[in-house]
Amino acid sequence: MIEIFLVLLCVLFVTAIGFFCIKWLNLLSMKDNLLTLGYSYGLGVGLISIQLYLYSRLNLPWDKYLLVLPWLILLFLGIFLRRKNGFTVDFKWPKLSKLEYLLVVLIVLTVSYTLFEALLRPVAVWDGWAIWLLKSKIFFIDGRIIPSALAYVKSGYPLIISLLGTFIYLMLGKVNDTAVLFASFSFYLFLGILFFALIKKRFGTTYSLLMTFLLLATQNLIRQGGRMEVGQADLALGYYFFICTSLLLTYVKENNYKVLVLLNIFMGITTLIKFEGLPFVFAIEFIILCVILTKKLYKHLIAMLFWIIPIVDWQVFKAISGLPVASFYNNVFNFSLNKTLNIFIAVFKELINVKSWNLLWIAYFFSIGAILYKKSREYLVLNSLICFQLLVYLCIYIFSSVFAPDSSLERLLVHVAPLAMLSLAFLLADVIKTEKLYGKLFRFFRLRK
Amino acid sequence: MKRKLLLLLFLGWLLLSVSDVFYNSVKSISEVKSWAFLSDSQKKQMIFGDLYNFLIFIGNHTQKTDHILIFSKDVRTFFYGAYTLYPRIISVADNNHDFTKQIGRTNFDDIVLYDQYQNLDGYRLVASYSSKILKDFGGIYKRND
Repeated sequence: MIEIFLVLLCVLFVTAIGFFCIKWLNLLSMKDNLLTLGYSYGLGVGLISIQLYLYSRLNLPWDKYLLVLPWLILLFLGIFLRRKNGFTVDFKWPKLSKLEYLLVVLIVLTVSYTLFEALLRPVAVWDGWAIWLLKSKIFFIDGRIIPSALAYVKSGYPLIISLLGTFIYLMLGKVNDTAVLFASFSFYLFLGILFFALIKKRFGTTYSLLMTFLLLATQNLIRQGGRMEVGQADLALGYYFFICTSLLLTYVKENNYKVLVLLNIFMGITTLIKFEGLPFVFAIEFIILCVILTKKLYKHLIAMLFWIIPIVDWQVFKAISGLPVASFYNNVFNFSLNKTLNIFIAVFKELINVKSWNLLWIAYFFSIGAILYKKSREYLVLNSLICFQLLVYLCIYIFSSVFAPDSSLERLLVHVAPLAMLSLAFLLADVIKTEKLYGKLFRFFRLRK
Repeated sequence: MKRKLLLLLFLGWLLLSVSDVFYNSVKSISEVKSWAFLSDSQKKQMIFGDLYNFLIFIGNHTQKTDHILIFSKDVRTFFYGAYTLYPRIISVADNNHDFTKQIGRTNFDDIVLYDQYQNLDGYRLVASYSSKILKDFGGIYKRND
């Protein structure tokens, strides 16, 4: 129990780092503390992991005081300096209606269940042990990142998630493969916070609570956040995809340079979670480039390079250490009509799998197929990203001999499920406002005009 | 019409999600009974069965610097064994051909046989394992120095 409490402190510390970096450097244009909190865990995880990686590259010891002290100095300096300038962080508990309280209770029950499941037992799926937890344990025991140890793991996945585990082990002073799952659950929690804050800003509290509940109650997200698949990186990648997309939407709307910088930092982190992050980041970069060129914001071009630095360094490290440079795309070309047909059937079965997804994908593809979209730029950008990423996965299944949808599609859909939910939230708000008959029922959820 | 259909889908989705909350709450009661009062070792035994006990047995009878070859047909052996036994380095063979090839290629400190015994040239049996749960057995063979 004490160790779980210590992991909670680690999560709070990591979140505080992210929160104060965003606040201190004024990286977000909107002054919404809840929204900042939603981004904070993601930024903190990235910064801590990159710190461990850099210490290892520079042969600095992974001493817990050496790791924590620079951040503590920055935190206190930040608070002291900002206080002088009238900096305050105040969270006000809003006045809620009975319906809102009911939705809060449902969300709390769902989140509590996920947390309870995460801490009830160790990881159950083999790749959780063989990849993510193994790397965390190896780095902790070795006290640094040794290339031969990476070769032993036989996984070329990047290191952010494993280094987060190592950081927690370093703070605990020992390996605890159950308590560390609290960090995995935190991705689920902070995804919920960010999603809520983003919807609330536009559509009000009741509607955002409803949508957040629908998102968090998705069984597959619960599985990734706390049940069978906890301890893996798919939900984390989904969280970072969501962060990048929300910042992209802000940038497209406001053309703010600091938002672009923050987006690029997050894109760098996203590519170091899993290989699947790379095509998504390329798509985002393409959209940013289009915005820059059409609006002639040429000074912003330099910020587009930030995300490349960590991924290039990681690839250089692998190359000079004799490790395979990339494995996601190095698969044998294999195409057959029969296989393609089977893939489409498997994908269809997964999309209508109500047990895993409730009605998320059915509603999403219905909304796309029935052309219910609003003719807004952000809705188009959002759905282009989702469809692009899904198309990438489909192409990999169709043209590669290694991957089969039966074993992995469920996980891959986790990457874009929060975005599909965001798209539906935008759309439904529009439908509710215009629909007369059924809209009355939904207007009960009091959308902000 | 399409918009009304979408709203109906959401209504169904909402009902499904609320029923999930109740289902999960009820299920957590039985989960508590099954898992909450077990120690960490007992939980891992529940997940990995006898493989967990066998890997702990290997850990207790080998040095931390050893390079170990494990002959096991259980596909989980490498994945969970690598985690449990680190910093020991393990290699796994799941058939006789691969086993013979690996012995010929590498000078292992220990060879572990799961569910079988045999004489191995240059190695001596130092510990035998017999499962308390199943009929599984095994042995650890140390290299003759």
